[in-house]
Amino acid sequence: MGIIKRTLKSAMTIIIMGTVLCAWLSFSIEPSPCFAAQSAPVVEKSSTGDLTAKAWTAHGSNDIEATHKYTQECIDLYKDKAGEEQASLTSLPKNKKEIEAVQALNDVATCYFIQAESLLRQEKIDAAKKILQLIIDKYSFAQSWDARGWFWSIELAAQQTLKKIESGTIEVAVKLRASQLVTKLALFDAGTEDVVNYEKYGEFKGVGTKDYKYIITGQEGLIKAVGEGVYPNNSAVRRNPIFKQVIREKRLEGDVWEFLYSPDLQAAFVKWTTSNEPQGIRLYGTAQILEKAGFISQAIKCYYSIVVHFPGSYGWTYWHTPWYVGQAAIAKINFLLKRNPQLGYKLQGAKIDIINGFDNDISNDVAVTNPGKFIKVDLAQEAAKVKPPVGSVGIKRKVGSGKVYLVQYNNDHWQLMVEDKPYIIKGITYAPTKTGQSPDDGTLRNWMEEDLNKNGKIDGPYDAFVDKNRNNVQDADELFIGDFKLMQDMGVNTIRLYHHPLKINKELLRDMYKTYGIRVILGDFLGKYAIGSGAAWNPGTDYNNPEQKKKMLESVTQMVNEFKDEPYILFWLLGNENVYGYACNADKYPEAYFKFANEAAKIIKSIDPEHPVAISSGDILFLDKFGQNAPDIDIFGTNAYRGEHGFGSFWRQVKEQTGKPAFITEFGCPAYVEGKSIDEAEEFQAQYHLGSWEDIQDNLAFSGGQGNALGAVIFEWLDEWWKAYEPAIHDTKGLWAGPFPDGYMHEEWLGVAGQGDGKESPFLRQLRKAYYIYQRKWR
Amino acid sequence: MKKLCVVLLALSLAVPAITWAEGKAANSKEFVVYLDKNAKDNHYIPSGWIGDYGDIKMIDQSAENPHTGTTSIQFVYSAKKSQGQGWAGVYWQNPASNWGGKKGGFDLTGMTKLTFWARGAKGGEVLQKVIVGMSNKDKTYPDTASVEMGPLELTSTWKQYTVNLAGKDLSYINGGFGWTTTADLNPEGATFYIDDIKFEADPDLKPEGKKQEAMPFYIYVDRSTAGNHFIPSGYMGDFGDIKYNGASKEDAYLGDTCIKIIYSGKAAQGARWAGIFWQNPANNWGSVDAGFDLSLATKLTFWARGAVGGERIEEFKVGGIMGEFSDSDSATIGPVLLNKEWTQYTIDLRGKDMSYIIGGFAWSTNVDNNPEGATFYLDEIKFEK
Repeated sequence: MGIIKRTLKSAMTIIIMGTVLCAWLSFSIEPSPCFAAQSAPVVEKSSTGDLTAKAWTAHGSNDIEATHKYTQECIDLYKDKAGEEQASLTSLPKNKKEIEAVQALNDVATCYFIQAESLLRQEKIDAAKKILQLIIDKYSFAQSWDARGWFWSIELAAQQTLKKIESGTIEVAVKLRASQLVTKLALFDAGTEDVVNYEKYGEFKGVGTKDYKYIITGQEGLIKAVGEGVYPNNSAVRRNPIFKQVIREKRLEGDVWEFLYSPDLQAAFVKWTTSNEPQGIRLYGTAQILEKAGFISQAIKCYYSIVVHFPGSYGWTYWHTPWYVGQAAIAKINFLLKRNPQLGYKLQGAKIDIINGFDNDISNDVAVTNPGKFIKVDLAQEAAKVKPPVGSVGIKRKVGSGKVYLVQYNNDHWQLMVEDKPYIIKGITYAPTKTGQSPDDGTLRNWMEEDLNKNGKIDGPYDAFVDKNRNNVQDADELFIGDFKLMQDMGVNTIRLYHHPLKINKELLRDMYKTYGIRVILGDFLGKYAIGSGAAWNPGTDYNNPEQKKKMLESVTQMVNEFKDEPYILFWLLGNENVYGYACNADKYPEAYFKFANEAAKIIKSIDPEHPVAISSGDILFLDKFGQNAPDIDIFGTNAYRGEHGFGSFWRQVKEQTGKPAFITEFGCPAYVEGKSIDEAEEFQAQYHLGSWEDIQDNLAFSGGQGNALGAVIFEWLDEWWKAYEPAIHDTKGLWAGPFPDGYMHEEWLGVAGQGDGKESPFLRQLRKAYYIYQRKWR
Repeated sequence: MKKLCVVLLALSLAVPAITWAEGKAANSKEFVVYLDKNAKDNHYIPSGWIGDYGDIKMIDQSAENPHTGTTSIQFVYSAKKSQGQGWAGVYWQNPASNWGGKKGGFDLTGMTKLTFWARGAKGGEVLQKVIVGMSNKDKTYPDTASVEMGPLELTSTWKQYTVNLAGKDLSYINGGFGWTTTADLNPEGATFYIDDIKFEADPDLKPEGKKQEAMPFYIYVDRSTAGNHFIPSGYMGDFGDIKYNGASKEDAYLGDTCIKIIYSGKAAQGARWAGIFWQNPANNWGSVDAGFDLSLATKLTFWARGAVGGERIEEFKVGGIMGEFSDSDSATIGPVLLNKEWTQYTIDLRGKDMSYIIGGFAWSTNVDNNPEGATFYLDEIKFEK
């Protein structure tokens, strides 16, 4: 089974919020009519990408001859170039741009991998092993794209396959890349001021403008005031006794980013304070280490030094989208001050806007900065403040005329109203996939229909039980209760679904709504992953193509017509992170995409004026373009994985750029953390959720924040074991780097409920701490 | 062929004498590195050619005006960068070509200085540095000390130079003496002579603490001047994207030349950024105890301009090198958008600990902000009071 899974995973399987699409059709590569019509076609060397895509297709179709033909052609044509690209690297390329710069290496190694898988399928074990070893020996820096949204190391996959051939397991020892010694940090010089009086050491100029600058006039004093690790104090750490010690003991070896998650806090602190990363990034990393070490005041000082000195600094995410460090620093400061009320401060007026900051181009950015001020807060006074009652503000306008509508108050706060009552979206992604099932090998069944124990009830929704003592069996006191009931007890009132490709069981959803009060946000992918547009996977949906647009609108129309009268529909959702591209060109033509989405919204409203329309975007990429081109979409929704501090300036930016209400369509955190116990990892997950939800809560209407938050959809209810490729194994692989407790997304551990050892799947549930956090917050 | 045979014969004769001499360097007041070819007191052989070794010609029996005896060694450095390094040098070793892989060397405990005589063919030739002991800690038989001095601007007449070794651990010295120089310092090449290299015991000589350098202290004045104290040797990131010219005559701010840097932005190594560190000595990322005490400096100033204006340099930096011997501090400015006209920039060093600086200056930029690359010029880089 493992053979097939990898064949499919890279090119054909698509997962969106836990639902899966097999894109066999959309992946077909056929000559377009215009090529066919040419009488004298020019013979060109096929690209590595084309050959690799054809090889995956052939392998997926079990066409051994064609698989060999395409893989060998790619290898013969590009082997030398691949070798050169491998030789030019000294470490694994880290982000999309770097990875795509060595395409020949990636594709040649992938072709070798496909050959090995094909040989395994033919039971030519020795030949397959030779090729897998060759990949390990010669192409260690090659990576392959997974359509789910990340790159995978071909070397690691080869190691795992070899291991599986030899021992039946896939666990390959992960090389630890930073010191794992557990140490405590002691600060040598914490500075003379807890809250630095910057006016004393310099002059703020152009506050609130693009000409903002802090000019230091008393550097010596500022160095003393800020203390160790905080700009511009770079020497105190060098006088700290740990400095020489960590060098002498060679504890600084490894990539600086790996030290963010190292338990060796001394080494991590020295590594980050002296790193050659750009100033803003260096200070952010340093502040994170200080935070981990418990030096909260010093961490806040460090974050704030970014705002004062380097407000426009930036980094790149795994997907090569910009990450603005100054904005993140403000979010961190607010989060830390909220979590540590004993410090008695709040940061007032701090705001950084990046003009042209919603695209992928850094070179056109202009930062507009107001560093704000730390204000002493009297906790008793704050608690005594009385918030104005909702009714006293008055309604500015109502959007929609059905039983679900939106209201905007005179203070510009928004609420979603259902049957005339405010409705906070307390949503979760629900896909109770049985362990061992995988879309990669065609074994995935429709959870809305599955009844494995033949009791006439759908398994997950009605027959799940809680393994309270976590002994992985159903004890006498562990009765069937069902996920719907468990979710209701948790406080869930909404799930998110797409009307394709799985058939929706209307009766099931009607009962979910009627008995458990859970509604559905129903979506159409709007051409993402080439779904609904009729386009081939490569190049994917084209939002300028009239034919494809027509097909997508037909898909949307069909959805609305079929479900508009279902009682559980909360509202309609368009797309899923289309702005990131991948088998669609919304990343290249965001205006065309949003205009088209707006067209779809208008059609929806002409058919069904009863429910609002939302979009599901990718963080804030092209947010400005959404604001300018989609007036008929009522709600801005987005998938955002930003960290335990929540969503930072997201709510303000949506308000300023669109004037619309917003919700989070996906966020979450794995309950697996490298080097930590299960219990500790669950605590990390719970804290991440708590921080995220509290941020949402703070931005609900009349809650002190921006007032435009409508709620969120957690990702996800239950761990899904197929995501990191071996569906019968609870894989701990970190699939992509991000702001998670150990720096990696462990995709198979995102559930607020786990499946234990997997043997009692799809029935057994081990409820994690995050479940109970929500129960407290939502009920 | 005849000449080669003579050389081989000479080497084979020399080896037994040297082998015999191994061990502790007696209680004498001096210990000869090299006097004249075939002198029986010679203890080391100029066998370790490094860098652009193809740029070096050595005539070890030059009779042209020796300092003492009948010959001196003439070196002709062509600066043609035969091996693409931009620098070259020669080590005197024992035994020949021993980089620390085999037992050799001498225990020179008791010696406190090394002296040698040198002159340039014309005067003005610049040696980047001279070295006693090798920096070879990763080898099986590493030297116990490595001490450097330089740069040295030679005169056309013989002059004696002294390397202070007082307080150094000289218990095992395999690289008795060495010199290096660079094409930047000698763009037209250099011809120079060395004679009478020896260790001496001077009990009155005190260990040399790092002296506070007087200000101004230059990183770059002009090409080929001894006033340039750091070497632009630390290429970082996409080093293949950088073309460095330390002798550009395109509208220098002051003097004849300035530095011209072309950054192509092609991400040759896939890093998407690049930069250069000026180091002391060359390529010192903190493994060599060197650098300068620049405590008297309160700022570093430099002039810069972009070829078209608007080029964005992410960071200009002083210090920050990390290693066994780390810089005592670091200071930065940036990002900086360059003007088309020469503009002076200042890095504030007040309150900074400049007592130990290996990395005198650095710049870095990236492809994100310079997608088409960037060409820019630097001049008059100096520490000031």
